[in-house]
Amino acid sequence: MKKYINALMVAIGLVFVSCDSWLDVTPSDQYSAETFWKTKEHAKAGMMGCYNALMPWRWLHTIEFDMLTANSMPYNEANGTQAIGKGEHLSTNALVASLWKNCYTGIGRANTFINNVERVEMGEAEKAQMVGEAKFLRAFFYLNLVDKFGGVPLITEIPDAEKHKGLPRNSKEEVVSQIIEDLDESIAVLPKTYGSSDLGRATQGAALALKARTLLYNSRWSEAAEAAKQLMDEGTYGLFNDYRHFFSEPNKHNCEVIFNVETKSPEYTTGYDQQIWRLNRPAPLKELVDVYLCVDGESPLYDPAHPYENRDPRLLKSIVCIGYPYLGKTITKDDVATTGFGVKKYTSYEDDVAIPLVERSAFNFILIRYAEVLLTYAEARNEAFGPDKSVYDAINQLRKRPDIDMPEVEKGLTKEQMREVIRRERRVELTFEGLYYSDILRWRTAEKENNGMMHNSEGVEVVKRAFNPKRDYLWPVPYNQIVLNPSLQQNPNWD
Amino acid sequence: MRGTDSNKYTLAVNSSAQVNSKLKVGANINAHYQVYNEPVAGVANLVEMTYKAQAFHPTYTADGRYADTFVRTPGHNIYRHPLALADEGENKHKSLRMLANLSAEYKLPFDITYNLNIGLNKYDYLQSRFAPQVYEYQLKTNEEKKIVFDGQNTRHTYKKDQNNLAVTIFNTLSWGKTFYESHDVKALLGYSYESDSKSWFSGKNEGYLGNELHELNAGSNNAVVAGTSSKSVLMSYFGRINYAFKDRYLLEANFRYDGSSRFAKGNRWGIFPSFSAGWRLSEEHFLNDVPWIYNLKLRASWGQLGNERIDMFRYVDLMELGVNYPLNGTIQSGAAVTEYNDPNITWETTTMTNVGVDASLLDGNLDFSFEVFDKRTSDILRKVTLPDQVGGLVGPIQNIGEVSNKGFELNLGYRDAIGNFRYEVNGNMTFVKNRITSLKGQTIIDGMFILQEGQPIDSYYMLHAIGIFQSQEEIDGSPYQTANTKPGYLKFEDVNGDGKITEDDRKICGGVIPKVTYGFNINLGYKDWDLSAFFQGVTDVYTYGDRIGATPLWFGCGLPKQWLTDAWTPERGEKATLPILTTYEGSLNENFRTNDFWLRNASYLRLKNLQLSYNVPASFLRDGVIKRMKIFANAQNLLTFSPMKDFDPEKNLKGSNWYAYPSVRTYTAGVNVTF
Repeated sequence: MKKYINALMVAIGLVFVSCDSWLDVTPSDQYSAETFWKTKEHAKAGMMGCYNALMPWRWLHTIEFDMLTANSMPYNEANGTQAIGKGEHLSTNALVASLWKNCYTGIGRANTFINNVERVEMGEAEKAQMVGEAKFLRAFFYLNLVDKFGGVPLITEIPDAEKHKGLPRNSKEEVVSQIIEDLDESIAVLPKTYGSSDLGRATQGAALALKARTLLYNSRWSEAAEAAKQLMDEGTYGLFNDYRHFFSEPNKHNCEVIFNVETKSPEYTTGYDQQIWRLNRPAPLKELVDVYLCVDGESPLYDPAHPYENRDPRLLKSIVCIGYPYLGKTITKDDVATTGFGVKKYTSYEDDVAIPLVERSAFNFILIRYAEVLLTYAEARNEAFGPDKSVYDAINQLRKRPDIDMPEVEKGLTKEQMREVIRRERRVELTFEGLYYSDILRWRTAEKENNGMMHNSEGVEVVKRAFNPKRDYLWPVPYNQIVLNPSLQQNPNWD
Repeated sequence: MRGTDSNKYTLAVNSSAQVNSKLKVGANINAHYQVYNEPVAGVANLVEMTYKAQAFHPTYTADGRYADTFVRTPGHNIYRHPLALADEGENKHKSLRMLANLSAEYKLPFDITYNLNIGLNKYDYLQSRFAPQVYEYQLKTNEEKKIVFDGQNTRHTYKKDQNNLAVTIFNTLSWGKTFYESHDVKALLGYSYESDSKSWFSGKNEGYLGNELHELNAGSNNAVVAGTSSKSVLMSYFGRINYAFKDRYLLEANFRYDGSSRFAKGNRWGIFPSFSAGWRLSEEHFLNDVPWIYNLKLRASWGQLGNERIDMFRYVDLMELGVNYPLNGTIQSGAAVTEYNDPNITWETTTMTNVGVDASLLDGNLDFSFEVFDKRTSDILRKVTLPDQVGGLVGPIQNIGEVSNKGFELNLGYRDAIGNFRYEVNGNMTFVKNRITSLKGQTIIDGMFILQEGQPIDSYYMLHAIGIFQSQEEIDGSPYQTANTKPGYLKFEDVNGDGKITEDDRKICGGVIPKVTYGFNINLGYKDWDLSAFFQGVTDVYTYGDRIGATPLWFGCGLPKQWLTDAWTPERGEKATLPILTTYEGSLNENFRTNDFWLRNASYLRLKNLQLSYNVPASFLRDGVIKRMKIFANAQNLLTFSPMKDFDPEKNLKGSNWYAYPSVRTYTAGVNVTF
């Protein structure tokens, strides 16, 4: 009998043996916050995760913004882009919401890195340099936000839902001051150049150029001119001698590129050829084409029968025109159906060679190049001190790029006249690179320039733009964000 | 649908054996092998592109190549040739699922029986996809363009191999005894362990010389690999006690103690008890003589069950890998936090209380059952959206609140026979009122849905359309909408009375949870013939229609027919049931702003199954090899009655487009033979 009871006890015991530890299952393909941030490899990976947040700047927050100006237009309402150009955007606009989100994604990653990398065991100098790169990226993302929205919640800690989800907007000054502080700290630790296996990481020059841009956008003229001059004097960067191809894949990391978004086929490609050529998006407007000077340096007087002859070479080097060669054939109206113009920048195509349509390419989108620094210097210096010799020299360098060879700027201009020259030069030089929208906002010219009918190559009206100066100099804070965080105050005159 | 097909093979083996007086063993093996093919870019893509194609889009050139259109319409720059999408390339899915169940029963002393059940669910899957390089030629210029398979870019082969193994070990000790011929007691104690291991890997290769060879080895560059594995574990201790007095008074008590690997230590375990009682009135002396009562039982129960079916590892902060960045053409490994996780999450508990009566009357011809229930799910596990300023991170899954489903269920059935003619009618109806009882004071807006205390879960939250503007005067005299609003446009309700229509004027406009779910079947028989019909329906559900097929002139696409006859024109005026026809982009912020005009009532009543069968009489089979034979003809989804006419009302209600494989009307015929 006892034998039976013993057997029974053992049986019951066997049946019920188990461990709570069997429920401890850890993921096999990811580290947790406790097991990460230990070695140099972890730090480098965390750093690369921050750079990864730049991917939307290959198109969505750069080339796309050009279509909000009188430079070009999209052919449909996708993305909410056309609505912003027409002044019809609501606070639920998709492009607006995506910028807010993509910037905070980058800021969150930079903050996670900066606050966690202290735990990593590695050389202090190298660690400080990486922190400098992260601060540069954080400044970049905050500049994107503050330029469009004004003040935004300023967060520099690791993302914490309880602490951060209800924070209100800080003032624009507070955010700008944090940007400058981050950039100054980066400038102190970033190297001037990198070895070839690290090309693409932020350099000291990139931080200086971004500082100059930030100060320029905030009308701090003499400081901006100083930062730009510091970079120009370093001599690390210069103008590339081929304006037509400064962005091409074979010319990656040329002397003019200060900071770009890296790409690689097939994992991180760009569909520029497909978008720009096959979909004709952006489609340049006549308003932009009319801005290019003639080769005699005068205001755009041209022969109406041959409007694109004898013009600033940058016109035909940036824009596809009807009757001219591209892709080894003469372009007709059907090739550039939307406005009669097409874009050459950032495509794989040549004027005289026919190749099949390219689907995926790997262009590094250039976020900051030396030409912009020269323009920033010229504009800031002119505003601070008037058109002195250094201002003329800066603009003339752009005019005298070997394959452009436009005449030098006319002497004896007043500050106001030089301002117009610089603005035109900036628009022409940097067209389709995503910066012009910020310019028309800060110059307050959007209400004149982007208001009214826009035209195609034949002078026919294609789209009606509208700009409400009481409201549209700032983007609305995305509606869905205000719903999630009611302490975010909306910008003036937005519902 | 063209480009899709499926073949399935099934094997079932069942055996049991009594090994000795104490031990009985059994084995049950089921295997399914299925091969199905779908278009390279997927079924949803083919449906979308078929809707997108216009009447003037060509099919083939005179010499049989795929043709491209010469008409360039806005929004339609790339012609995704539906025939090419359906016919070209390969996207084959093979899966083998093997279910094995081994059981053993051993009689221990003291009337205790030990039961062991081991279940194995092995799943092996292989996907082979080849995206070809196919061209279309413009009809006028013969210009060659590559046909685009969305999401598949360059010509490539992709193979994915997946292996899952789920093991369940279930063992129980049970005991039962009857005391004094009246008291029937049973007890059960058990323990179960379930583990689900999944792993997969994939390979992709490009650089093929043509469309003929599809193996990975035939490619030459840009190879990409991926793969991972995961495991989840569930453990339970459970027990049950039954007591019955003369089969008249019944009591049962249960408990479960469940532990899951999906939660953090300290939150893993949950206790879920339940109790029920029943009273078989028909066994009572005072009802023994009532002839028309065959069986009558009152029952009541209260019980709790837990749910932990969320994604794994949502309780710990993870660094996602593969967030890479190339430097000068070389990929650098990157890691970043992409999801915010809450370490406090724990079991979702559903508490169900019900009271019911079951009756079988009139010699078992009439069946009747009525139940009132209150089902409360607390600590609901659901994803919460964080504001983007928290690092743009995907929100955590949290225990957010409590939902109650209250209602009643009614079942009624009658069967009888008149001579050789048999008939049976069964119906059931469930009425449910769904309500969020607590969301910890928050309101969650999830796209076009809202979760709000006091309202059904996932109610539609959008602008309410109250009519169509008939004139400019009417527009001027109504709350301000947009500068683009013209006569013929939709008029929205100014819910908050501030004189303008904004997102703050959204209100609740219907939901996705049916108020009534019902079904009934009718079975008729005459001698060897049988006819059965099964109907099913739901009421008060809505779905939103958007995109190609639902919205007219979406980015260069066509429009449904009713827009020609019912859209507003100055002549049609008040008779129009649709607003004035515009492209989607033309009234993006007006008519096609998310609003309830585009909600469809997706209630339906459907004849799900209709079957006519003939049992070959035994006299005909004459004691031959065949013991029984039945010939049948069957139709599924034969008839549908629904206010929603433009797509299948049984679709995924929360989805807002028509890009899905709809329910199909199926006709089958066959023979059942028993040897």
